[in-house]
Amino acid sequence: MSTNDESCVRAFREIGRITARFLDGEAAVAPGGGLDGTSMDGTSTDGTSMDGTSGVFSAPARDVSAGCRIMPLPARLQERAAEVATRINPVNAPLHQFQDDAAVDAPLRLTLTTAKYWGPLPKSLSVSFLERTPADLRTRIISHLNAWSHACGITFAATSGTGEVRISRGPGGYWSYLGTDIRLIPANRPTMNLQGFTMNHPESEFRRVVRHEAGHTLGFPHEHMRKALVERIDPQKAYAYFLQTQGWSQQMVDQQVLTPLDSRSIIGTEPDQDSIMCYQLPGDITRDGRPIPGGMDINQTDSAFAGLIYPRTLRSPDESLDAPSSSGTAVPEWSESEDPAFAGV
Amino acid sequence: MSRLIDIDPDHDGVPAELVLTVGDVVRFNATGVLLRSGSSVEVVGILIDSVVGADGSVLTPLGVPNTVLLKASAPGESRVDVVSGDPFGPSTSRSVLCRVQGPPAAPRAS
Repeated sequence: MSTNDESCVRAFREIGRITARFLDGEAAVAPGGGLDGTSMDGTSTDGTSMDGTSGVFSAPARDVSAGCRIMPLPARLQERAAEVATRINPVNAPLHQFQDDAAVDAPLRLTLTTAKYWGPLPKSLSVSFLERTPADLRTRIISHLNAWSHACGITFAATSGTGEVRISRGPGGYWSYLGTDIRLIPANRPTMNLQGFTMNHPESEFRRVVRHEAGHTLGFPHEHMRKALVERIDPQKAYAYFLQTQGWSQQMVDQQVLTPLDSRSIIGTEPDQDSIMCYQLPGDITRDGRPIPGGMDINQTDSAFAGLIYPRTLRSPDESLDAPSSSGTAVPEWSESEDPAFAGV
Repeated sequence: MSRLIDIDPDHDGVPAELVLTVGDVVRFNATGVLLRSGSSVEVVGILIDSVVGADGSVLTPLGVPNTVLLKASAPGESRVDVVSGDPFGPSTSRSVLCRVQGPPAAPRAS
């Protein structure tokens, strides 16, 4: 497992830019409090803590206005700067996001169809169950969804009505739609499937499966589809293995195992084979014969990145990057004639 | 009339023998299937359930394939292994003999 500080810093810069857009376009955060009532003073209620059910390290809440600040560019230069950054490193590409309104500018609108990001404002997603589900099981499942909430600003809360997250325990295996796509799923359909889950399932399965599917709901794709991990797989071994065990065609193996995520569509840390979002892959299909262990629970890298993408605290709207902030950081200004030339853009 | 026959191996089990009629379609909740012998059934596909979203696009969840479709295409016998569980870990394979009968004779005109 590795945390790549440089990637995180790049991600942080991008999130800051996106945050300004969302703060302009979405409901304002209530003064002194998050949308879900969490503290906005830069600390969680318990500060740095261990998740009581899993022992997972929970990162302390980040106050993005504290300490070192990212100095924003004037608005007229941000689009060109993003293009330059993307050309230098595709990871810098604007995070894809779904937004119904037309407030976003042209480069971001080009990527709307694949956007899954919920945005940086703290949110509470309502949760309902499609089948009759015992109260203790509902509570247990939701507590595992909320394992992410120790580190980030998205929480899950039960509703007696139709939830935004709709869980079925019917046939079909374990799956979830990705991020904001759940808003597009018909209300009578599940957005997440936890086939056959009961109170008899071991706690380790709740951690491995429920938290993994919750990660998809947050917009996190499969970690084993990252290029660096896909490159560890021997295609010929994979074709033979899945043909023998599953009857899968080469095309299906290509789709399921061998096609890496487009690096321009994601933003994140270095590929992490211990991430909760990484499947366990057998050594039978890797070039070196060693398995990819996959994640059994949310790890520190997962927590840190979730906290970065979905901070528990945010600047208030009047501190957006396009305006002077109350803490004294202003957008530096100079005349347009002094703007630097962006070679090749 | 041809039939759609829905089988959840993990819940219902799989019968040792399945008597079908040409044109029947069998849907298994499964991750894979291997046609071991015969040509009386064809594998239509190993698929994943998807839905039409509010915007009209087809949306697919993140997960492994969860549906196997077989079609009874000709009289005869075929043996298939239906696989469920985790394609990347523990999975269960169940063998079923599909005995396909010809289509019912059309009623004679009187």
